[in-house]
Amino acid sequence: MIGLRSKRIATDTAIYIILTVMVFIWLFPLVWMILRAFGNEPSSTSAMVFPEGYTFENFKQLFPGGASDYNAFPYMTWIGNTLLVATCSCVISTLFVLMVSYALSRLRFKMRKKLMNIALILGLFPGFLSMIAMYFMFNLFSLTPNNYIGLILAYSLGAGTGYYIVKGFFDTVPLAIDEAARIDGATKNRIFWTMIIPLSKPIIIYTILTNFIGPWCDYIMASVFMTRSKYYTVAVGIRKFIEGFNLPKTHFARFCAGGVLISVPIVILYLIMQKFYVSGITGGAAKG
Amino acid sequence: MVRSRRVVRSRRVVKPKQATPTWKLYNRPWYLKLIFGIGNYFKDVGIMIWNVIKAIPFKIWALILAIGHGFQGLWNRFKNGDWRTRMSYLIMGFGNYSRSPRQFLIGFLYLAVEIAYVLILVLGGGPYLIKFGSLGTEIEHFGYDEMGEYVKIPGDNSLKILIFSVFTILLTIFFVAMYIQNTKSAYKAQKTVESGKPLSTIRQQINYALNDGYHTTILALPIFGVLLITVLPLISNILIAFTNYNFNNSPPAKLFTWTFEAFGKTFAGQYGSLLWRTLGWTLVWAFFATFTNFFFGMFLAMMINKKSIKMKVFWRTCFVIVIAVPDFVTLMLMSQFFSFAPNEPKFTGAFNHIIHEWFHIQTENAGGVNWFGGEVWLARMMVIIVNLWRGMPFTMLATMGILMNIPAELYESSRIDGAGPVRRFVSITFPYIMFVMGPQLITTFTGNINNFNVIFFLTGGGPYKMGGYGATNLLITWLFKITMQDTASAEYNVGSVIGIITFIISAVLALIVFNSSKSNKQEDTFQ
Amino acid sequence: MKKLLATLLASTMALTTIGGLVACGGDNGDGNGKVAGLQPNEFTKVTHWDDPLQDKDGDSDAKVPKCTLTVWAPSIALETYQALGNEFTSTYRNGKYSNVTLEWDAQDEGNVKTLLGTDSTGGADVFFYAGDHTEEMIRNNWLLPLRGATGSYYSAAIAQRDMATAADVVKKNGYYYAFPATNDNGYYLVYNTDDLTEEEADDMDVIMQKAAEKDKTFYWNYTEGFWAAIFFFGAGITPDWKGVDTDFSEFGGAKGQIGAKATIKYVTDAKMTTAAGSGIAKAVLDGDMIAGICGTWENPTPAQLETGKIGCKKLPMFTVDGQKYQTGAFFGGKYCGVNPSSANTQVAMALANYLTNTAAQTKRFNEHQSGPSNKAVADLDTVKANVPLSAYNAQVAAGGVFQGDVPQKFWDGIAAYTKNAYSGDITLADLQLGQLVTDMTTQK
Repeated sequence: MIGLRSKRIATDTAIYIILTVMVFIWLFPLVWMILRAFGNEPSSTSAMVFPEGYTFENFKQLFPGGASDYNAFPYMTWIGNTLLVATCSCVISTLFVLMVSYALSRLRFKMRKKLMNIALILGLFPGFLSMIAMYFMFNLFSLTPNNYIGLILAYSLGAGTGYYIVKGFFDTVPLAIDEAARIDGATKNRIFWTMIIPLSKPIIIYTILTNFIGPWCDYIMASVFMTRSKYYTVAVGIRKFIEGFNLPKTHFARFCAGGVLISVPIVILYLIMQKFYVSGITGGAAKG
Repeated sequence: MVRSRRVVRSRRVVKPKQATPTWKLYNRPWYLKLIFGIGNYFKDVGIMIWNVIKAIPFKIWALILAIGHGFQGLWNRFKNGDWRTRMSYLIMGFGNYSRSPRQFLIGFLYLAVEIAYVLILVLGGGPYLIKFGSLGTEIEHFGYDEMGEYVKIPGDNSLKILIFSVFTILLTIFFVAMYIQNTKSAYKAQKTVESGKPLSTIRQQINYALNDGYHTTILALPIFGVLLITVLPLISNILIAFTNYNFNNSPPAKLFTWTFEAFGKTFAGQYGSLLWRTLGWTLVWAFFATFTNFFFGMFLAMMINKKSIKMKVFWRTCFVIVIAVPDFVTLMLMSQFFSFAPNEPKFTGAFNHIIHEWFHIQTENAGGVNWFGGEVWLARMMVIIVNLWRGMPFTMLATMGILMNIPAELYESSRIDGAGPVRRFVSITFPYIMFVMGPQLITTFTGNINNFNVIFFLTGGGPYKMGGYGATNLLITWLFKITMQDTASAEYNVGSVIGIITFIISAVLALIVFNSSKSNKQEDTFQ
Repeated sequence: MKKLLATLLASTMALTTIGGLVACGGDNGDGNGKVAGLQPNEFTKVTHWDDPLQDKDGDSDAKVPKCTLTVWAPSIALETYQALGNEFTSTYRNGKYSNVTLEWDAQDEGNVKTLLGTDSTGGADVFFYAGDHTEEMIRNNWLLPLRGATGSYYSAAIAQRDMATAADVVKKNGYYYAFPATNDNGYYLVYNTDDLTEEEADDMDVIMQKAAEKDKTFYWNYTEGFWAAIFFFGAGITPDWKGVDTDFSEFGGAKGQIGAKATIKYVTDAKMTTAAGSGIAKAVLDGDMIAGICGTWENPTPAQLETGKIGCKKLPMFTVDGQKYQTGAFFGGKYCGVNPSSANTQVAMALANYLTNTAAQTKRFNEHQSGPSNKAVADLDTVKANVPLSAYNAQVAAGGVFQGDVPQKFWDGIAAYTKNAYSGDITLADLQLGQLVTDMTTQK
């Protein structure tokens, strides 16, 4: 018994060491970013790993009036744009995903299997290949360039193809619930909104989370749809800090500060939603 | 041997639909089982690819039959219909609203569809559709206006003609479907009246939309969205592959037209060798990016999940933070973190500083190592490693969720059998994880084929070698480069062919996953 | 038609939950901004070239109708141009343009053609762009030719007031396509005067030898095509830029061999580096670098020059096979173009003119030490006395290669060549110049 125990302690110690080393490696670049964000060295290539002095200057420059060239890099406007676009497209996407998932999971109709296959394949079409066509399509309706609605629709209208995980979850909700409600005279519409949705909180939160983070983090689409800095989303804007020959020498610290600032809310969101995320990734399948 | 048989039997409980084993694996060591298992997995994938391809001609034939059937029905209803029904062939909804006020709503809806379609056709889509064959004839140019000012005089825009024509065609298909539905509805109303039964009321119709026809109600908007956002660009993109759209004749200044030159250009000549090398690396990259993440993430999750390890939440949180930071931030950060300045120890990147100053490792070059821009193998390894850094926590999270779901009694019984940790892993944990994550592995694989961000932000496709070959370019970043970055020599039609290749690879893989995934086959199990 | 389709779409969209959002795009004013009363081909009468319209008989000071113009200006000089824009809309010509609203965006000159490439009608009305993109922009109709009733006055103005070297870049068929804004897109040598005398700084080999002695580095960013070809240029290759049709065969000949040998020699030198920390001048002052090839946008500041430790001069001579050559360098300028898709091209031309005229170039020189294309400004004593600008001009005179319609594959090809020379894939035994020519010439 003692032999077994000491063996276990040895294994555990080894695991602790491995985990500590890994956490160090995994977090180091982020710590570096945070320290550089507070550092007084603006250049990306400088003579040290960590800055020599610390300051809030880089963060101040992200706010109106904080930097002489704030007009060229209106960070807070970008944040506002991103919030608006991400929130609106998240609402539409989530609704679409839930609707499609419900139809494919609970309703039986002729084209169901075919629709499922087609949607899955279409969902794989790389978004940026469709950008230009989408751009001109929206252009016909004056939705591009520099229009929030255009960007929101571009992010959200195709969301229906991402039904896979939510449908998996709906599949695990017992049909008996529907049947009982049907006997009480509820329509399928009622069942969907008042019974299935409340029962599916974790998966809905997961859907909201992923559909919010998608637009929040997108670069390519926003960079084509938005050509004016006051319409940029934060991903497009923040890249301006380190674009070209010059700017990395003078704006890298501000890039780090901006990166830290947009990451904080997302990190908090993630930490709160971790468990929903887990159930989302493994989907209904985990229960099988 | 009895013991191991028991373990295998308990595995059956986990994976009820296990295929008949081709190899007798009971007596083989665990690592062989693992290798055979993985080999089998890929063999199955191959078989499924073949099945999908085999089915394509039959599907097409079935589609033709269905269309023929639809027109036959259309004719039959016209033959057997009364004058009101026949009128609906001209004025949609007539067979409905002319019969009873009860049918006003549905009738006028059909009428509205017809009016809207005709208006769009006349005012917008039609003029474009007419030019679809030539893709435009009037070239944009400059000239004097009536004020003597020298101004731009717009001409045809081939790209817009192509896209809006596709839009109009899609719209027409939708209209034809509605049109057929309209004749059916009119015929049905006729039959109902003839049989002396009352027509359905508006309330009944709404009730139908919320109950038996609910799938139409609920799917209409999402499908409309997908058609506009995905199907339309997809078709437009495929069509561009059949044009000569490149830098020399790009609209609005110039016109392009239909040819087949793009395919020859892509597969042979200058692009040919680049294509095959890039495709090769894309697959290698997707394989390593997927499986390193999968295995390392799995082992990490198992370490954290080990019963005796404390502070589970802490460990997990540390890794989750990495994926919580938006990836364009972390990737741009990493490209700066690993930057390199030859011969200059002071201005080189942070990581080179670290190996010099903290670990006192002497590098051949005073500036450290050129991580992303030097040796091809190093740059490739680095993108895979950074991708591991970035992606492993995702697998960890998922695996931790799965591990919690493995029934404890499985482990209990194997422990009673005296199975060691390795055997427990091979016989219980790994099959279980594969069962849940297996389909997702291929989804991740296709995701990695299209993993634009990692390559674009880290290396931009470099290091570039003589011959214009970007050693870490994926098909998708290469496509981006020759269309969106090198605008002065852009080849949009070649880019379109590359896009089609990428899409076909992804689509075939995805179809397989979907048809093979357990949760799809057993979707009714729990209902 | 647009409105109708928009209505149809909107009614569909009403079912979704996006209400409350206001469309923000396409907010062009409906005024056409036409200046009446001008006849074509009368521009010879104009005498005051900075403001041709002012002295024209019959040109009224009547206010132009309400309109909005967007301007893309480089982030480095955005404030300067915004200040000029404020003058334009307030005091200029007694408020003739006071109904004009200007919207500003920071957009670097090199980026403009990419944005216009997606959708030129969605681009800014007035934009600053890099001179080497001119051909591509003219080919795609992204530049409004300065001809016709109003435009020809500006063409005449440019011909009078700007240096021919700068103005000819945008001249085609006797008319100009854009307003020259600066004439300083190039690089020169910045060196530490403690380590090198002016004479020593004229020889690449001496500099590298001193660098090794003092354990300092030399900065040359050969990873970017803009700098990578300096030794090929030095060997005497001056391509006749014609975009993708440019003839690069000289790179495969004897001159190419000289350039390639020099490239390999200096790229593999143990003191050559490609990063400069927070700036070349600072690194030279701090003693990390002995010298560096410095772009005109990162000129040493007046304060740095006052220390007396920084010298600026043309790029040094280099030696191959015992023979000396003058290192070459790109030179070019930045231009201000008017978008032909603009709804208010007349006002846009007036604005572009105002942002690039004598007063504007003087202001930009005073605030950013930008090299002028304007003859009068170039003649100013302060401009002549400006050390970095003189160094740049000396380099242009000694070994300048005009940056015309340079194709993207040149940038990619030459940068790949120097990088592969550094990594050892290209050696003196195997110069691979044939491959270089192929890479720069063939369609990729």
